[in-house]
Amino acid sequence: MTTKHLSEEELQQYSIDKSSCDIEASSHIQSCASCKANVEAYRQLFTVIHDQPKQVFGFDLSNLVLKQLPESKSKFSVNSVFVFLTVLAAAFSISIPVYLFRKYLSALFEGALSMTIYLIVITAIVILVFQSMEMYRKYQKQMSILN
Amino acid sequence: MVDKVLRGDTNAFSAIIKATEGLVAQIVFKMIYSEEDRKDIAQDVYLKAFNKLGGFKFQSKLSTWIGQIAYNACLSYLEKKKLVLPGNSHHEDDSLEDGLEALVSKSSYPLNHEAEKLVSQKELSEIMQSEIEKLSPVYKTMITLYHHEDLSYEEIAQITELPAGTVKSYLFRARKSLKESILAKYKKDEL
Repeated sequence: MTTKHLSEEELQQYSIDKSSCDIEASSHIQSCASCKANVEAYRQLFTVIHDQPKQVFGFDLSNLVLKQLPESKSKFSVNSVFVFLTVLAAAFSISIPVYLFRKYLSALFEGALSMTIYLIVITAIVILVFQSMEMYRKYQKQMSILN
Repeated sequence: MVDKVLRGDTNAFSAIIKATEGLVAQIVFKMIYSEEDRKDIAQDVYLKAFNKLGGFKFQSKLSTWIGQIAYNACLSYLEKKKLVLPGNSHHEDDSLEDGLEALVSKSSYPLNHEAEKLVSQKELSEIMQSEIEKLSPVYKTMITLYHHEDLSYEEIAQITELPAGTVKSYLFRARKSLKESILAKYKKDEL
């Protein structure tokens, strides 16, 4: 067992987390009145700070802030209408040519091997699954940070 | 919640305020003395947070991010008012530490149980409160965030935008100063 007093840093560390200190330091504290007293003073200090009543604002902060914010936008905002119209336009621009050229499209796929079609479909599904998993993982990570 | 606010639902911001105002209050109370200014700063913090929310990158907790805005708002206020800043506060604490170190040394003054009894827990709490108030705003805030709010060194480093090593060093000095104040008080009562 060491007879040398613990440094201030070691005393603080011991007071915060006893298990993070080495056995030498721990056994010294047990037999040294001075170091023991310092550790006790630190522990009392930490307890007092921890147990102090939490200071709170004496006014409704949420209400004061919300009054200064712009009004909540309606459910159908300009942005969501724009997104809806874009999706609609995209759907029409794909479905109209498909409808008009359906005869040629069916002729195109008639010539293709069924194995090739399966391969394309399976690849697309696999990519879609991996993308979804990645998006879900990212979402979970962001939620855990927020929590 | 963040997504709702970004989509224009300002009422969702109310939930964010309620979830984080405890931390903001701790920072503002420790750094700002004026009651009226606290009110202005607290509102300013959340208005800034609302405007900057789009830039929140989910790299830290939302509360830590808002805490950082609160800390910076308080620092700007102190700079504007030319009050105690982190840079020049160390000298104050150095002199406090030096004075107490001369008065109380580990070898000459071991705290004993009899002396402990002289100061009750309530008195000790009051003494500590007044001793904490004597610290510089930055030290006060760090002590409160670590020992009262149970934040880690890394979270405090994110809030204060200081390296974790600097946070540890500031906390070490603040704790030492407070502990010596307790020991000095015990000694004074014992005499």
